[in-house]
Amino acid sequence: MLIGIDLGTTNSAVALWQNNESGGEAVLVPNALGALLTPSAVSVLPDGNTLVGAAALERMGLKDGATATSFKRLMGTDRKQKLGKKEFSAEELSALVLMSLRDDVTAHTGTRPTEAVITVPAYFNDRQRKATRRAGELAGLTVRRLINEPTAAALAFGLQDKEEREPFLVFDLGGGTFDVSIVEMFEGIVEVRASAGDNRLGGDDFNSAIATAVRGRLDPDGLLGKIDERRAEALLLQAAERTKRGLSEGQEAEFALTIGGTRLSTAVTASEFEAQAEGLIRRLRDPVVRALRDSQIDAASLSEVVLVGGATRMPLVRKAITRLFGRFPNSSVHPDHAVALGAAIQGGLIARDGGLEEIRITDVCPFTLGIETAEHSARGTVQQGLFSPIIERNTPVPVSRSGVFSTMGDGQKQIEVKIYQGEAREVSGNVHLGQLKVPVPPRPAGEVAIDVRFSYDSSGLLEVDVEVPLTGAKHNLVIIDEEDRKASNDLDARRKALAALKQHPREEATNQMLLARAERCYEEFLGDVRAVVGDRTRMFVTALDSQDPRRIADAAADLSGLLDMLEANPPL
Amino acid sequence: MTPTQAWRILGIAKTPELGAIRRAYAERLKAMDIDKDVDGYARLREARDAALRWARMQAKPAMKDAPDALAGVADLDEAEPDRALESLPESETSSWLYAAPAARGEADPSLTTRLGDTAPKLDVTTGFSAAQAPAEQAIGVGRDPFARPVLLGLEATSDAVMPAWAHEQALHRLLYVEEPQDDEDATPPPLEGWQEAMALGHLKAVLRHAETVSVTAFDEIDNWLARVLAGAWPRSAPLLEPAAAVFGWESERGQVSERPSVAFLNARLRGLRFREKVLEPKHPLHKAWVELTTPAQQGSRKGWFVKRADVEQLLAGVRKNFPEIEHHFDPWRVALWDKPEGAGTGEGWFSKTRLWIFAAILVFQILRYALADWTPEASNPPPPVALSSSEIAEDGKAIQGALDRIFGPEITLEGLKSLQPDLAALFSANRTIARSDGSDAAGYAAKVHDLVRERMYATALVEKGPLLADVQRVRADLLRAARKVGGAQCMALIRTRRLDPQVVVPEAVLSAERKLAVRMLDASQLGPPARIAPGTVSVPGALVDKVMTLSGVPEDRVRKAMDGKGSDADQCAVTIALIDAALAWKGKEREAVLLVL
Repeated sequence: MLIGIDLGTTNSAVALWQNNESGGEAVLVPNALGALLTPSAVSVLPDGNTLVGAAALERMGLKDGATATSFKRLMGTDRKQKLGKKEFSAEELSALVLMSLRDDVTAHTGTRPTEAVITVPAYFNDRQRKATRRAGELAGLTVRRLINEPTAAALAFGLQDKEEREPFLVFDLGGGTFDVSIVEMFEGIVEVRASAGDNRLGGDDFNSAIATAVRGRLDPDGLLGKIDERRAEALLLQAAERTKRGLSEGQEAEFALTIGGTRLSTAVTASEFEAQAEGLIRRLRDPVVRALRDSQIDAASLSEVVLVGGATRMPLVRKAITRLFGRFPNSSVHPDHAVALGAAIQGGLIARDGGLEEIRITDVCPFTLGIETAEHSARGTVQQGLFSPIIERNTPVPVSRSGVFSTMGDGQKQIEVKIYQGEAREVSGNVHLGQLKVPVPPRPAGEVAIDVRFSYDSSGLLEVDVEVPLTGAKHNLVIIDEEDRKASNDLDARRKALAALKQHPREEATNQMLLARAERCYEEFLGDVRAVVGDRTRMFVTALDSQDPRRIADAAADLSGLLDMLEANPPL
Repeated sequence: MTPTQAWRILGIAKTPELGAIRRAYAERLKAMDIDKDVDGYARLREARDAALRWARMQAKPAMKDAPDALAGVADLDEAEPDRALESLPESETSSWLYAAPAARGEADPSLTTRLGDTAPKLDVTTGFSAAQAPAEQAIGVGRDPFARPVLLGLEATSDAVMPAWAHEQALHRLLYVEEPQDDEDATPPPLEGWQEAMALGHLKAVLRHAETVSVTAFDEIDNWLARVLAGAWPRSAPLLEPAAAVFGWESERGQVSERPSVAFLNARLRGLRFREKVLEPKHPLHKAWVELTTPAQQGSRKGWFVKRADVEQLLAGVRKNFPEIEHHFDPWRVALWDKPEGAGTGEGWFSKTRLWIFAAILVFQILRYALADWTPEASNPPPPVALSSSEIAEDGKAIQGALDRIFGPEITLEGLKSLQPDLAALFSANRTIARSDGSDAAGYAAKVHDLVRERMYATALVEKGPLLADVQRVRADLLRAARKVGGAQCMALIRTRRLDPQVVVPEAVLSAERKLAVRMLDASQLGPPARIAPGTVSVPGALVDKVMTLSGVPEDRVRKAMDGKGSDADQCAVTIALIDAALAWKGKEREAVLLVL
């Protein structure tokens, strides 16, 4: 079975294509808690078991929380996060989320999925894409295709009514990444004209902005400075997230958190938030301008501006979008669901399921690809480390282009072709993808030329062919970076290591969630209240041990009732 | 791709109907596996785009409003290659406005590009057309801003009183000086205090407006302002920071797609900031900055209180990172500090000469002191700088040898001293240096010969006329001789004005050179060389043809070589051929070409 997965910074979702009498449709699969969204959070319990999703998120602010979130931002880097006794890379954490989604589908349909289409931000670079692919493989899924998030959203949007569409713009502001794509639909063709983005901008940054703004006045006694830094940050960011949601509904919201029984709180107004987020709002414009420029489309001639991603719910962001485009955006697709649904549709297309009349998607490569070169500068010195583009950004893929380069030194015996991806004129500002050494016959400088051909296919795989016309020698390189090489050796070992991590049984998810929540409340409150929470939690644990379903249900209702009440009216 | 090919690939008959083209494209696309047939896919897309362009062009005459005119420009350029070629140089020059002071007083060409060439021509008096400003405003207010002179910046600029386009216009008028300039190269004066305040006011209004409009309009204002500020540089300097902050120009820095005008402004922005910082006395390189910016005169010395390392760091740093602020330095002062190893570039040879002259003066002084201190007491060892009589005789011989080689036997050092004293000093000083280097008489002669050749060449560039032709004729012969050894040696002579020691110059050339040198010496034309500035010239096609015949290099390589690219051998051959061809040329470009070679 082939599933579609939206692996998000904040939330993830899984969907599948289902045939029915009216043709077919993409449907989201609920998780063990019955929710369609699973927070992208992983927590390691003191007993070594791992928790994924809402329960993990609950543990984030605990003393020994050992919870990781927003790890999508670290994809493609070597950074590891320590949870409990173990260290995890971003791709391993992502794999744990993918495994949990996979199990949700297994529970829902009774069949274990083996293949997946996973979405990535359009502006993810090659390394980040490879890391995502590896995460899929670590989770035991064959990744049939990586599809760009705005493209997936466009598919979901376009298939709502299957109408022809003049170019429209997908504005995808997620938890950690921002993408803009310009898409056109006609005659069953979904054509992405241009994509641009900022893979360091998302809802998380708005949370940080709020947290930075209030920290001083929230905590005059420096209580936050006395606890573990990571925990303080987790508490602040969680509170900021609540405030942000509050501000989506009203002009003022409370920013509150509790440490060791002390409740800190302050009010944040919408205008204060707006002032604080001004820099972030300004960063939204750049990718939009770039995408419009690259596709040579006037903002006025866009047929729609489609909003995707949870962060587009913020009134602040909507206001900015309305101003940018001089019109109200279209919110007819569910900002959190569209991407996963689009991935499922793509999955249906790959599996050539009936019910999906033939649709073709053509995408672009949003980054410039090229090689490192050197040249003689005006002062007679040699300037090294320059970037010579071969495939310009926003070229339709698949594409094959070549460039001719020649030797710089007399008697040069080899040319080192270093491949980079990015927009900077100097390679130091770009992402290194790989390199190959090409031996050439020693001749005076400039007399040996090589022909470098880049072939980029529709799933984002780059192949480099170098030919030396003088000798007729041909060299080929399929870009595999360091991590990939390492990974192919120990992918199996890592997969086994991950599988060996005990995951909490699915059927216990609700109870785990409740326990985590109780634990959090226990840490937040003091005195009598704390004693009551502790008491009820113990009763619940005893009920769990008894394995009597009725007793468990009663105790759970009891405990969650108490927690609901406490959270609704926090005792000061 | 020709239109016929496009229709054939799409498999339909020529049609202006967009829907039919898209349908045909979709059918073909679905029938192919694009991953297996990458080239086929590229061809199909190209065909579709060409067909759509053609179809839109058919539809265009019907609608003539501004946005379509804009879209039309792109269409025309691509659909009709001939026309695109013709119009290209035009748009090129207009995007490089700051390189073309001739544009002053006329309509701002950047506005033309902002509008697109097919937009109604600009009203020269206003610099704006109806399409430029929002239509209703332009019509309501009228096209002639002189009708409301009060609005042009003399009053408080409030949005209510003045529409955004009027701010743009006022800004433009402040930045571009209207009075005709006699001297094309003269930089416009900086903004006076009141002008600066007004310009900033208008700029703020323009920026405020930009922040409230849609992305497309924002992008247009961004492009327009970048060109206007770049074009009016350095007059526009005070406006750069606020504009860059709003449009995020610096985030574009170093990108492949950085717009030329933005690249120009970014370079200046960084230079401005660095200069501001270094002007503060606390800056570690402040003293070095003051030293290098103080004008030097003949006989000036380096400042005493500056660390050599600081000056070198500043000089290297500025040259590497902010070349555009090097003009603040005094060239003579820089020459005092510049390392001799800096040779090999246009400025390097110049500073090297200066250094040698200073070395000469120093050595003379040391000698004088040495002689004054020297007493005939036998017990005292002679000071280390004193020369034995045999050494003095050897020096005399070496100098005369060099003079023989360069001017012929009739010129002696004494004679040279009376005719051109600084050149004579140069000869002596270099002899001293040569001795300390351990280089032989031949090496010394070659070195001073290079220096004399440099002076001949520099003077010829200033004197022009027949002298320039004579010097270039000799130079072509020298280059030919150098080429026999190799292209690299030939290019070294062109670039560094040093003749490689392996090069054997035929006696005939040497004697012609000698005659010319004596002639110039008699006319006192061998004084310290003026600075040789690199220049450009457009070479007439007929001359290029001649160069191709003379050099035997094919056209594309000739063009490359003229651009300073291509192999050394080509560049050398082309330079020689160009000198020969220009010398035989009767056209008016003759001198201009000879001047840049």
